[in-house]
Amino acid sequence: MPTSQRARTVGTLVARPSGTSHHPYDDEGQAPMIQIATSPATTTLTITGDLDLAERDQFPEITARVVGLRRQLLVLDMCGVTFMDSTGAAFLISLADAGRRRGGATVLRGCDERDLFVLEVCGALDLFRIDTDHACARDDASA
Amino acid sequence: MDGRETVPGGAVPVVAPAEVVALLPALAAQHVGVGVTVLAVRDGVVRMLWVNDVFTRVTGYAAHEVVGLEPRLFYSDQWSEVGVASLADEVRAGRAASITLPFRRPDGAAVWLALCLTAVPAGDVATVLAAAPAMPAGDGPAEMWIASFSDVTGTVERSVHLRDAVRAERRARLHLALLSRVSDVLSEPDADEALAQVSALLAPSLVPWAGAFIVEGGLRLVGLDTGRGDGQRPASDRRRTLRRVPPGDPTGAHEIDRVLGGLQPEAILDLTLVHPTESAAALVQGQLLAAEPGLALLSPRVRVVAIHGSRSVLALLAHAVHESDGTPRLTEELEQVLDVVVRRIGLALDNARLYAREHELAETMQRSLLPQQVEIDGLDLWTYYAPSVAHAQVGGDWYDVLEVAPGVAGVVVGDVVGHDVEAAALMGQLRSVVRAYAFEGGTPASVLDRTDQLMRGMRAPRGASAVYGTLMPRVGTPGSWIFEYARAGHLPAVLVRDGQATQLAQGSGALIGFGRRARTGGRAVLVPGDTLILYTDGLIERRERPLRAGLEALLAAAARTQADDAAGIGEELLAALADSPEDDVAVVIARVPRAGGPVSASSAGPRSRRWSMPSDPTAIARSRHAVLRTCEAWGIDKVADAELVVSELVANAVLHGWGTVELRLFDTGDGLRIEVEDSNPAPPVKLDGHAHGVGGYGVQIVDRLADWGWRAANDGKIVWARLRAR
Repeated sequence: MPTSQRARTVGTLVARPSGTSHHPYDDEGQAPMIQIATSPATTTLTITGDLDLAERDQFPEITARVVGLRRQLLVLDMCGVTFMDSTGAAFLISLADAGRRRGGATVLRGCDERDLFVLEVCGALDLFRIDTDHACARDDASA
Repeated sequence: MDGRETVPGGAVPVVAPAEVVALLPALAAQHVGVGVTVLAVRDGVVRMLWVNDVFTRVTGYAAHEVVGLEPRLFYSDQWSEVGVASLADEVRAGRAASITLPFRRPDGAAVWLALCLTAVPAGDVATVLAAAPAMPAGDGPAEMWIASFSDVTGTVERSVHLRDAVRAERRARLHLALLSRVSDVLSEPDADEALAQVSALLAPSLVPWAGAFIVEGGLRLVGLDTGRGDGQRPASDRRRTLRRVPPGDPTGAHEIDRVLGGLQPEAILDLTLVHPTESAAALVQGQLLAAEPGLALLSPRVRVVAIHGSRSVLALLAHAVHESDGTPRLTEELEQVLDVVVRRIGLALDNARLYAREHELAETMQRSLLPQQVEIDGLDLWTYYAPSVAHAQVGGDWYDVLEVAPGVAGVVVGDVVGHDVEAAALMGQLRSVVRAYAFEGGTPASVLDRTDQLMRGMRAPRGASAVYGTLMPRVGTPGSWIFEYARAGHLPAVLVRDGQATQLAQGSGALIGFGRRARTGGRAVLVPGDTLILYTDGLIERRERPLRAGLEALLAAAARTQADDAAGIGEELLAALADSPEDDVAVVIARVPRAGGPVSASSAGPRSRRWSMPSDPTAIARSRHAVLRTCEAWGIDKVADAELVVSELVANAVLHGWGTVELRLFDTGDGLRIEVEDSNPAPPVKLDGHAHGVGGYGVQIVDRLADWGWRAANDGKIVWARLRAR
């Protein structure tokens, strides 16, 4: 998306893991925080932290919320993701798959090489448009 | 008389006079034992010219009631023009035509008649006609047929009975096979999948269509995907309140409510009617038609059967029924089979729910017993817990590493006497109590004092010991830490500095709950390179040596340690002391890293590490962290791949295993070897094409990055992976 047409954030939902107890081990990657921002045509999900099995409980709810917003374009901002394995990939895939069923598209930005590798092994790269030009504002995410 | 000699036995035939012989054919025709009638055919119209007496006996019609009339009149509803035409074709071709027909006698009895039809040769017909000059030409029959009837009711009924028996037997076998397959399918742990498969077994082999609804915060047709992607699913899915329909509703929707409420076993739902909105009937109707729009035409009335659990109706089975005369008809046999299927589903669902509930309860209880380990900036922490091999997953030993204040670690290691459930339960209570007081703050001595008070009040049935201490950065000297501690009947912590191991033996006191005097504390300063070891007696206690000797062995082993990371030191201690522990072992090692990270990374310490973690999702991040640290200590790069592999392996162990997950890392000289041990002996599964299934691609990721395999170990298995160069 051209930067001049930057999506205006009309609403932000912060999803935190519900039902999970205190996370004792969160020194490098934190329990992920997932922010949802919407504009008339776009939903942007900004994900920070680790995407693995420990976070699985909150995935269905977030997917349901994103799907409920019914935007044509879904942007997944992965700049703040510290780690993603196949469970995290399954979450991204369910998001993209839900979008594709309605004819929408999913853009992935700020992925590192390992994240793309995981998605490739999952056979899911063609579900996403990979934004390679995105220059991440934060620098701390690069592993 | 040549012929006479040819008669066997030389018998002498008695020949009747010719005038007698001339009468015999008529006699024979009258009394032949089968009903006989002569039919005249002209212009397609068949009339009965003559019948014999037996005909009357067989059919119940007297000669005067039928002669001169068409047989269709007395054959009435069994008469078939097509059938007669095909019989006519046969006899005209000069063959005898036979057929067995049902027949209703005038007295109401139903019998089966075997009919045999032959044509009279044209020449004989002409002879007969010539004998009746009175009959006007053109009125006489063009053809004549002879029909014989015999009553074969007995034979037919026997064969029908036999055929029915064979069919029933075949059906019974089919039903048995179906029931056994239903039982197989129901062992599938996923209720949705099991119900979908049962429906597939029932239809179309037994009923034209079948589907199951799960009653769970509404009603949901299993397998019906109402566009998961368009956001409609939650709306229909999560409708929690169904509107009740009052009795006497003309659509019969009230009956579905009664079925759902367990008040009646089944009801018929008419798909062509408009049911009250938001009623259960409307919901069932809507989902049925969404799944199978043709049902409205094919089977407008479906049978809805309640699937009972022990307490309530857990699901509904809806199935189409073959109709006759506009009403659904279900054979008694089919109803019985469906009844058994429904009962089995109910049992399976009930068991699954009970199991899930118990499992959840057990998991929650267990989680409350699990240790916590946080990471504290500036400290290298390693923890280890192994229940003694001979005993259960949870024992009386415990540890916790908590962040009791920002940047301050609270460390506790404790031991409740015994290994049984009571020991584990008391351990759980003590752990919570110490945790709570630790977060409340104060000196370690005061934390134990308060613990004493509470435990005295609780009348703890067992003795318990613990050491609790706090590690906080020393103000003014970066890199140094202050360790404050207090002991309640517990073995002293060990401090290792520059190859010297000393016991931190201050702050001793009675067992927990027995501290009558105010407890006192101890204090030590830790500088970079120092290592602090807290442990339970399982680490050093052996039957063949006194405790003092064990302590000395620990001090000696601690002094000898080479590794520059906590995990490495832990590995060295376990290797030296606890290779065949007789008791639970809990160890916490806190190391203050030297400035600038590990020196001579690749030389010092053992080339293996191990971590024993509770089977909990948090173990995944801990394992990744362990890999990062270890690779750093061993000077191994390509950490990114290793992190991914360990994450997938541990996730699998957590997902499919239970109890404890043990992670081991080895430096093989040409790379990293990862071993993950869990308590599930089943081999790792490779799920293909499960896009949303967790773990489905995990194995494939490991496959791409590493050579891997698995072997049985203890009661579970070890999955190992050796990273490849990518």
